[in-house]
Amino acid sequence: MRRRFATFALMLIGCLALGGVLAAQDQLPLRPDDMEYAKKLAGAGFQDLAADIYERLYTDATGAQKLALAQQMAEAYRSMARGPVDAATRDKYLARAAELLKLVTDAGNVKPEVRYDQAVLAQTKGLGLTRDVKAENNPEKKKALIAEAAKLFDECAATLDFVAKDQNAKADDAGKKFVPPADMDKMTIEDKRAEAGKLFRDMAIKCEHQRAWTIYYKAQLWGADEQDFKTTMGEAVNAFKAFAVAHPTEMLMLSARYGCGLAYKQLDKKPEALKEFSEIITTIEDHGSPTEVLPLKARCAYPAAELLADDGKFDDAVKMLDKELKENTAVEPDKDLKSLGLVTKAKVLGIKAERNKDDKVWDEYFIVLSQATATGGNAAGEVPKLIAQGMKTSGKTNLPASATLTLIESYIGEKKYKNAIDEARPNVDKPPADTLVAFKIHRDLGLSYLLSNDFKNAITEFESVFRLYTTKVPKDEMAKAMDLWCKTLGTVAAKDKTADNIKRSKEAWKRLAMEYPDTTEGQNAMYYLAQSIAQQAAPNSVKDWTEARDAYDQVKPEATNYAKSQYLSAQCSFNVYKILAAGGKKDTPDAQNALKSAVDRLKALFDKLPPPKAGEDWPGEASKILVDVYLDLGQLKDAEDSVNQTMKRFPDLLKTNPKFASTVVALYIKLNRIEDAVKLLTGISEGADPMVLVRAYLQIGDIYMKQGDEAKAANKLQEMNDAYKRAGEFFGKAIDLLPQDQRDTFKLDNAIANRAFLVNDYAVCIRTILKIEEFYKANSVKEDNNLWGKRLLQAKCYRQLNQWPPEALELLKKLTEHFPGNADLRVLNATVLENQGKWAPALEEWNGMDGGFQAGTPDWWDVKFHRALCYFKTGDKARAKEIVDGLRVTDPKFKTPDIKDRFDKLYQEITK
Amino acid sequence: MRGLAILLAALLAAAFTPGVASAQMKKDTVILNKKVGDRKEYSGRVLSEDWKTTELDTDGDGRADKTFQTADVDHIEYNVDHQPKYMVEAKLLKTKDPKQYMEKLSRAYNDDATPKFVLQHAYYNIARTATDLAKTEPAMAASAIDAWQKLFARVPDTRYSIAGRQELGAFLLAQGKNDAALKAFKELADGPYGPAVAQSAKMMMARTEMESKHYPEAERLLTQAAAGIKLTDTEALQEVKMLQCRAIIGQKRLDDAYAMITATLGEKAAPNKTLGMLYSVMGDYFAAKGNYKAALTAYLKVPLMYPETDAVEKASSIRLACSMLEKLGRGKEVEGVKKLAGE
Repeated sequence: MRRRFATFALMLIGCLALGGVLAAQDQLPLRPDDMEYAKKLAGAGFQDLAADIYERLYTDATGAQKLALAQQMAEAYRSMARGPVDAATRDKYLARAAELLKLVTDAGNVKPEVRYDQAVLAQTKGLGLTRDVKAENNPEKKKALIAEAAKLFDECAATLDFVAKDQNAKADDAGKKFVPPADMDKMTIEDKRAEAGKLFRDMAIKCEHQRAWTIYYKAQLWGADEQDFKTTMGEAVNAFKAFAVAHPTEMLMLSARYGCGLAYKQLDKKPEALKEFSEIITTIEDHGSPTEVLPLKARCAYPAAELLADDGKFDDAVKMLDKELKENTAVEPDKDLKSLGLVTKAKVLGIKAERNKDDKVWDEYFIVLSQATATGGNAAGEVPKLIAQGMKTSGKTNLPASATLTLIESYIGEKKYKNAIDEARPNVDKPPADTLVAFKIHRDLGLSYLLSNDFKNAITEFESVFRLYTTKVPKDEMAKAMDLWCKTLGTVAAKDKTADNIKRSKEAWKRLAMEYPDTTEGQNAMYYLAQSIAQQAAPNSVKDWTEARDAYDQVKPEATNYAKSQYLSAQCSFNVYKILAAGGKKDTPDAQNALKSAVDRLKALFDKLPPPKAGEDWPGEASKILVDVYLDLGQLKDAEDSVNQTMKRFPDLLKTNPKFASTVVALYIKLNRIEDAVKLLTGISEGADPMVLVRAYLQIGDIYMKQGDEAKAANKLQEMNDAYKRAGEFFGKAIDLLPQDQRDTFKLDNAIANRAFLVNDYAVCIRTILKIEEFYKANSVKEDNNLWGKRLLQAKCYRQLNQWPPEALELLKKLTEHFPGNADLRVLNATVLENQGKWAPALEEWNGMDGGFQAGTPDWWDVKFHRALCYFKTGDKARAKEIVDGLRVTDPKFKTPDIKDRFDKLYQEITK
Repeated sequence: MRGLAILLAALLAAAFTPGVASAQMKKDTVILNKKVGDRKEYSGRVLSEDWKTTELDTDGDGRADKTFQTADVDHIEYNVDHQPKYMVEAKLLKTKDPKQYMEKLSRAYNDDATPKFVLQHAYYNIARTATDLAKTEPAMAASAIDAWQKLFARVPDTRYSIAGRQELGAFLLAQGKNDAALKAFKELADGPYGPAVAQSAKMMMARTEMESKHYPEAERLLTQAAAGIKLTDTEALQEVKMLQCRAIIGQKRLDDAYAMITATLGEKAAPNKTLGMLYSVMGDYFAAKGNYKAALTAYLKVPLMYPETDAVEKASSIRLACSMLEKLGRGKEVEGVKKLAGE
């Protein structure tokens, strides 16, 4: 107690000493009970918050405490990796978990617990890859993923097997070493021996159990009709059975038997599966308290009910499900389990209704599905598909109200707004008895009109909702309806900017903010009001921008867009300054106040606001605006200072925020310090978001590209070449860094296609342009100049590769029809003819182009070269020689060594 | 079940023995919270029952022989003769059909024959039931408020003067009718109910002012409330301090708030209940700073580590934790947090 108090006192002194720093802290002060709290957070499913606390405790921990924390943290990260996260985040968590466990083993701790943790980590990685296998369509990639996952599961199973054997041996040994007193009876001796090895034995049991599940997970990598599946699933059955026989009194035995049931079910051995599930259900309550056993009991009951329904025993199946649902709700309400139970029940009812052609059972089917949706559990995702299936099979059109609501919402989710309207309308005209359901259907009717761009009807319906339901439904529900109404009016005002529409939109947002201040929508309303004022503001109206600024200033800290409203307010002030300055009133108090207000507010933001949360980009945005302000004022030094301060305040911002990185690079370019920008980017390359670097390198490449174009226009070819070469280097860097999953962004594809060509990566260029083509087709976008330009580039790629497959010739034909007489296309056509050995028509094409390009440009040299080549190939060596000799007189150096080299080689051939 | 049997027996007895009532005075039973004298129960005829005292005539002479502090009275079992029959019958419907229960009790509004101190129980039960119903049926809110007002108007010194106003105030606050809530709490603070009631009413007024975002006024009220608390009552002082902290956060004096929180956190022997409130306020502090993840971590600490925290504060922490999850784009985890409310 005394020690604990001493620790606490020390902490307190620490806190007081750090008083000044604490004021600016953005983290909870640590307390002695935080280790326990982190465990509880992890237990409640908040592994990320637990990991944060562990990480902080870990920083100050030493020795054994540090290693214990590393193990706890590894477990938290592993759990997070198993959650609904994208592949990149999952890999990040798994890497951190592996890193922590490695720290533990590197410290010499190769305890079985750590080996077990490492094995389970491999299992988690394998399960992650199993999810990727399901999502992958490319057969080759799928095969590679399966192999990788299978390897991980094998490693996991082998480690668990090794640890289990080791621990069993130690348990036996510990038992043997126990020397009983002479008077101890035989039974007690056995108990004491078992007790001596208990810790070892428990670990061995844990490993054996997990190993059986690992084999089961491995089996799931393959499709049900594949041999590998059957063999491995058979192994899983054996492993589960062996475990259950070896440890009949363990709680884990039930889990093993459950696994065995699942494996049998997947192997289509229905009677065996049903036997396993039924025996667990009938005996499970002898093994633990209801809270402990009911989830597993339910998990057994659901597949068992499906098997019973397959056998036509519908009533037994439904009875079993109802019992489990009731018991689970009473003991431990788990929405995922509940939704799974209800979806299973609906499936059973669906089979029954279909077989018995029973309309009442169909009604029940739809109601149960809507109940499953209401749980919000994982299995609710299946509901829309099941409703559609049920409607198709049953031929029913009049569904129960709650099912109708689910159906309408699924139509909206699938963008079938007309179907949603058709389904909602009769229920609005004659509302169902349940007020909340009636309200939601009516609100969804308005929403469907809004999403189908029928704003007039949307407004009518939303206003009708307010009249009918304002006092009858909870505030947060009504606020959502009003939010939709406001958005509708806002869209109308944006499309048809009449004074009346704008006024109505503004008043609507005000009303939402005033009437529902405690709801999320109400809190955000003031921000949207400000947005609508800013969007409608006349560019030169001081009054409009002042009004917008005042509205942004009224956004409360609780609002989602509070941070954004702060810098947008500053931007409004700066706009006011710019308008006044442009009107010659730069030095008036109004202008100076507006400028000061903008700068002060932006500068203060970095001290006032906490670091951005996920998905929030205020430091990037605010920094950009501040730099723009300084650049606009010509205060380059202030601009530089401001980005330096931002980098100091948020050291990771440059690595993680493309917008901020872009601002910094743009500033360096403006300061004519491109190499410093490159140095900066090189410095952050490790651990930076690849997109930050991609965009920054493209930006720098573009600057060099521009310099190259200017040199070209001034006919400074060496400078042009140098600049293009530098541009190429940076485009090359950008393309190398471009993550595979980012390549489907249309805008970026357009940028990449051009740059890939410049860095001679013709394969990437063609592939990217084909993706752009796909985008146009998939989105039914009309062919435009951009697309034709890209096609032209694609054709040039074929020329550079000197490959003319049929699709290239087809493309060329299409291009020639679209751009008759285009010089580039004539070059390409002539090249194709050369490629096909048709030298005479090729010569004709080249001759036709002679004189079409400015003397001395690369194209001009190119035409001369090909004319000489074609004369040579058609046997007119004299004319060929004449051309080369003539050029040598004009420019003995042939402009560049490359060109000279080409001509020299040709000349050798001609004069041979 | 046993209560129902007793009640039926009483009803049957009343129905079949009319002559006895007139011949012999039926007795009410006053059941106390603690022993007064040597007993916890006294029988006789109740002559009055207001917020301060309850008078009992034990010998039938029409004069009070015993006077109890109403605060010491747990409840009174009025006999069927003293309490109108419809009130007794209504009890059967209390849980089975609350609306019919209210309807039956509402006859009390036209009952001029029964003393008001007896009818006050009917008025109170109507108000209480309507309030409960309004939690799930928003349309009942107006009836509930009306019923409370009738109780206070018809029986100005009702025994429910304090508890009723506290309930009404809390209900109005939950309904967002902050001005009306403030009025209810102010009646308590300014009423004749003593310093303890006034202090807790001022704290409720402060909470209400905070709901209305009138933070300076809330801070002023809390300073007044704090002045009435003994220095030795650390727990009460810490509670007021945390509320003050909230008012300070509302005024965006975040550094002051942080200093206050950390100082309280370092105070010796802060009980779990206080720590719960402290973390709830810490959550407010981080939420005001826009650091929703830290706010979430603070709010969750209340139900997970300090379940002894005051129910309102705990429920508010859970609600705010859900709100933080929404702001963090983690709405799917809200259900998991709501489950903590039941633990």
